[in-house]
Amino acid sequence: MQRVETAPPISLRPAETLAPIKRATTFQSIAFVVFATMLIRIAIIGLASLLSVFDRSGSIRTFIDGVNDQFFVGNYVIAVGLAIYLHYRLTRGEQMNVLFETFTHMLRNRSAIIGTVLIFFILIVGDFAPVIATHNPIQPLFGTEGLPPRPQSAPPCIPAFGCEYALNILGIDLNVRDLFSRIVYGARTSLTVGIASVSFAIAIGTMIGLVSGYAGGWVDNLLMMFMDVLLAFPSLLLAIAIVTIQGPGLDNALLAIAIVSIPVYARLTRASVLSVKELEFVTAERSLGAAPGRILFQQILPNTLTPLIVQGTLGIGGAVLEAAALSFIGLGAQPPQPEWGQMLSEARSYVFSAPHLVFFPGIAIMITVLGFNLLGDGLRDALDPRLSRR
Amino acid sequence: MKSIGRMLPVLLLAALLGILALPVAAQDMDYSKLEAPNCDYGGLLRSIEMVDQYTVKMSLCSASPAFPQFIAQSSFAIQPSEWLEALAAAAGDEAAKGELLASPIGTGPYMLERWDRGSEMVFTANPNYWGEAPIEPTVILRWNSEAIARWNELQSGTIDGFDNVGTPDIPAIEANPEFALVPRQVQNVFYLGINNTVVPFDNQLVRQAIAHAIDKQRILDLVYPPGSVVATQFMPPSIFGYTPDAKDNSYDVELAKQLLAESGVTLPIETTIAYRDVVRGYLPQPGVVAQDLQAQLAEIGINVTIEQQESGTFIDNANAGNLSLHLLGWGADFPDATNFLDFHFGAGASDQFGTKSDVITGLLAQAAAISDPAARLEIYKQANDEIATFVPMVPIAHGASATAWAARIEGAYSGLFAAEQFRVMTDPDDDNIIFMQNGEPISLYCNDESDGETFRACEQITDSLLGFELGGGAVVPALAEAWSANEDATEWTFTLRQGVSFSDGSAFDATDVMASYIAMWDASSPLHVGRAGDFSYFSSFLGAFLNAPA
Repeated sequence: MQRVETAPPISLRPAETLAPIKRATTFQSIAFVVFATMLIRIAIIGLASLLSVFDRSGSIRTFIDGVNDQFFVGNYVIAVGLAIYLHYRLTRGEQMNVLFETFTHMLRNRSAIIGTVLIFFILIVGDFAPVIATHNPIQPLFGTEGLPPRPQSAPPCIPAFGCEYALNILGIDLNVRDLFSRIVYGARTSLTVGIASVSFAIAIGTMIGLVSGYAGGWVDNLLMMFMDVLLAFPSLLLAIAIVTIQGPGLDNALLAIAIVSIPVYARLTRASVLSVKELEFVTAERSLGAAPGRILFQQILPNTLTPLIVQGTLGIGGAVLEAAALSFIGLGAQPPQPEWGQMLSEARSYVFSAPHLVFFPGIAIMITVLGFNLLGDGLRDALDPRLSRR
Repeated sequence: MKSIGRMLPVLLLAALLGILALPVAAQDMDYSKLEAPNCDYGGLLRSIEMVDQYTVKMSLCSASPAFPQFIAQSSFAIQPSEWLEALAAAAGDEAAKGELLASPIGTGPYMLERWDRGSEMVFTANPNYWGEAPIEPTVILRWNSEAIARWNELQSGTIDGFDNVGTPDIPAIEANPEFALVPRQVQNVFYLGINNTVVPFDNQLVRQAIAHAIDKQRILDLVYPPGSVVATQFMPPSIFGYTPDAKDNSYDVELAKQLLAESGVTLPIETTIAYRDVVRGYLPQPGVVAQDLQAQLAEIGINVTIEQQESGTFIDNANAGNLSLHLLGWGADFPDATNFLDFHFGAGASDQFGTKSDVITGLLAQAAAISDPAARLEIYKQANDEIATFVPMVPIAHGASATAWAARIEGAYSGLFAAEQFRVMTDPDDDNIIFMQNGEPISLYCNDESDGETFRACEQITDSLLGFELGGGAVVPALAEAWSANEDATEWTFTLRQGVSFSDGSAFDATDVMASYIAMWDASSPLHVGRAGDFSYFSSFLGAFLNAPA
């Protein structure tokens, strides 16, 4: 049989890539590395807290705490390294990867940039707390060198307004601890709670949403009915109920916040699954005989991530607020652990006589939540394919 | 026939009411005398007797020099016998009972005009008041649990005065000529309670180590207002029973560590400090104090978890002995050691500190029955020493508290054992006095209440046989214009004021005194009814009820 010559082979490059070649600018590259570093650090915190659920002996927790306290620079060596590698992978071809391109869209969004800067700032402050903080955040400073004798029952004050009884720019708190150091360490607490609770909620909520949306029928009805019941409770009230049963403490507060936010992610995932599972590529995969697990995790899940990322980012801000609220009413962080909400609560009767005691923790909460909200908004715009881009 | 049919419901209703009224009407109360068959029932009262219309005699099972101070409290107020009978008739009916508990009838300077639950109480002057008529025709009582909110209201002019000034607000009030700060004499104690049934606090050396590990001056400097003093013993300096030379567990960390080492307990000790986030005169900032104690105890190897509990739950847990370390205090009801030591460490005290020391209970019982002050004080000195050795608690501070007033208010003062009497105050700007306290009164039948915020409302409306002088601790005549005791202080005769009438116009006489005391004392009497019906102040001071159910 003779071989028949056919038409020359078609170019493997898809038609749209024939557009002019775009390369990453230096600014974009640096911004990408910073942004990726931040995301990777957040992901490490989230993964670590997911792992510590299965950690009955507490050894993982001890290890993580040890790393955070002693080798905190290591966290960033890993994160920056990974970020640079990711940058290399996404830009090495002659054509920009779609992920990188999405990132360049996000860079044009001002609120996303401000949000990134704020979050990166808080993240750095929290992670490098042992270097930044000048004093032990839980040790009263009685007898510390350089601290003048305490004027009896005078409210705490700050040096900027002519106060002598202080060691640092923000002065001391009600228990004669350094307020600045406490706020710095508080960043660590708040971020961990915010990120960890959202990680839990996303991990569980996504599973529920995937199963519910893909299986349909009575499974869908049952799961969604359960989610509706959870949604019917005011979230903070439900969190208070959970913490009251479990006992106060940061871990339980984290769990409570995670549980109350599960339905949001479950419903979001389910909605995406419902629309994605009818698309041709899913049908094609199914007709090729792929197992449901493979279809769910390899075809459907990646296509439902966009709304989850946006909602998750906004959710961290909300979780930080809820953690602060729970701590304010004494159900979250337990003393003497520094936590912003609890610091507010302690100082509430000093709001006129020592306003800085409530002002600075309040500002810290505001910056963190604002950062996540701005970034979430920015991501929503950047990731939305329907928005026209110039 | 038709008209009878129409009348039937009315007739039925009348019959029903008649049946309902029958038991009360049939039981014609006998107010002439009530006597315990013997003194084995466990109470202090032996008998109360109406000698004539204006004389009442009470006899006691044992000598009690402090008896006038007991009954001068507002929880021993005299109610009209008719009101008590109506309350008894409403015993099964919560709605009717609640209605009566909120509409008291008294002989006091004011009467209740309106009680807007959750908001305020309005009092108007009682035209029948037996004493000097109140200056202002109206008094309004409000409440807010946050000190800073009360101060804010005073600044904005919506109230004329408030109780329990917050420590951080004192300099601002003192500096402002528009406001006056009126300090209250120190008459309380704040302590760290230790339950000796909890391991390792069953070891006396561990308890002593804790006593030596606490720098009290540091806590005082942190949160207490000027005028507060470090507590060297449970008794406040101003109250009888304070002995300046009693043993004091002074601050000495090295000694504390040494005691812990001697005790053989393995360090670190893991335990909890429980507290309630409620501000009282003895403890201005519970959270700050708890955290400072946490830091101090960590120095000697005791790791403390702080546990905040709801106020009522906390008190119940403390009384039941469910807490290990806990922060609590006590404010005086009357100026005598029995109010402090017997209540906490006497034979009848609660399980708050675990097992009691027989030595201490013995000494206290001995001291309570002696009338010679010098001899009593000698025994109290021994008791205070024993307490410092046994360490059921670590006394930390005697807190100063104060009221704040608009400077224009004339006659403003801080109540000490009794609450402020608004009848002596004048507001030149308008015709009322508006006062803000910490919390809302619970009911207005104070013989069955134990909450200081409730007493302030009652004291405007009702009088007891005796009373306390304004802002002081001396007992003065009230509804009894004279009283006398026999030599061994076991028989007390009260001569009642004549011509006094209640705010509803009915006359006051010995019947009302008898009814009020029978209602408290005799557990089998139909009058023994209140909001909760436990008459806890009566039983705290006068011991068991007569005919108490087993």
